[in-house]
Amino acid sequence: MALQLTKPFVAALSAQIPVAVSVTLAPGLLGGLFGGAQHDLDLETPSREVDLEQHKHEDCDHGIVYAVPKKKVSYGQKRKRFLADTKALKPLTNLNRCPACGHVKRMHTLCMHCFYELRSFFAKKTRDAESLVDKKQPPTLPAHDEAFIYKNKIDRPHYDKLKDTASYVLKYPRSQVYKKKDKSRD
Amino acid sequence: MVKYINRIVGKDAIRLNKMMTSFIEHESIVTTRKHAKRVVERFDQIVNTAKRQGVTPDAYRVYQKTLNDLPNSVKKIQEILLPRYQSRNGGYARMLRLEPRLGDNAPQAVVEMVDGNKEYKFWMAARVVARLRQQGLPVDSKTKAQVQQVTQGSPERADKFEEAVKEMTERFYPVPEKIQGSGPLPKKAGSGGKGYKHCPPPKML
Ligand SMILES: [Zn+2]
Repeated sequence: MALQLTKPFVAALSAQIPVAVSVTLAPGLLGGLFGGAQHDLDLETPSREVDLEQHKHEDCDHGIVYAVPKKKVSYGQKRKRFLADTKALKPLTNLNRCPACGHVKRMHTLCMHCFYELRSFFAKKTRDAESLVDKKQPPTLPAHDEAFIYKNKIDRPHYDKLKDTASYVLKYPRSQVYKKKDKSRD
Repeated sequence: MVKYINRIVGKDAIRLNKMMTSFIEHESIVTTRKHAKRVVERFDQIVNTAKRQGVTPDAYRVYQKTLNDLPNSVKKIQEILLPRYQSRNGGYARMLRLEPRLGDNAPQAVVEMVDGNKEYKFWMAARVVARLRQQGLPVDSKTKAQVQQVTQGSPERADKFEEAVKEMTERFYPVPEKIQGSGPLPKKAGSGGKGYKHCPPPKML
């Protein structure tokens, strides 16, 4: 598409013939060049005249010539670039064993599984402590008041999906466990 | 040109104030490591200010700049934190590293108050000791060091630790036979008796 349009320009330049080519500088031109829709070009509407003879010696190519790769990148070069050594996943060597649960964990960090267990343990402790303290009960409202105040609280069908957090919240996968070697096999 | 080094201003200051407030409320928070470090530093500053100046107008000016939810947080500092940290000269909070965050892989950390009610280091040590006792194994040197760190040689803390060990046994290791994947810890040559210093090769298991 682009080549077809450039041909008359190139011919005019090489032949050194002063030709005034009228080019529509409407948005339709670029769209026709790159979008692949030639029939969108409206060449009949009056437009700004571009004299190529005037612009010949300037650094102006009218957006016709663009920088492009000189050669096709070969299959091997491409694969080399994609699968470079630096892009490969590196093996984790900073691993040790969680002293509480015996699974693999990173060194100098808490085991995430045990961390979450402890966190839920703390949460339960706080809940138990709070339940012991007598709380002020909110005053009971008459039925029509309650209906008015809480009228926006409606259980919609998609709320059930949202309540099922296990279906969409990311979770840490459980790490591997060290197992004792079966000595009878050796 | 950098005008001030290590001065926390603008949105960073606002974020830190919010984190400090929830840290004082909940006693432990999970953030990224850079934020965690800032929280640890700021907490030391606040507790030291409270120790020196209490609730004088000067101190209150500091609280206003560094905390939200003022009446409640100042009340907690005065009533709970000051008596707790009377015998310490710093290091009131501690940061422990966690796995990178799911989603953006940011390095995470948990900040906890030393002697607080959500002290992960303390309860983790209690859990390990509980497991070793249930299995009838000796407490290794690394766990011993950790217990020493969390109890600080004081008999009150030691009693509290024993209670924590009991609680951990009830919750996580009620039946010794059902403890999974935690046999005697394999020893590696040259690890100085620290059983789980390095990831042991499969032949040692
Ligand atoms: Zn663990």
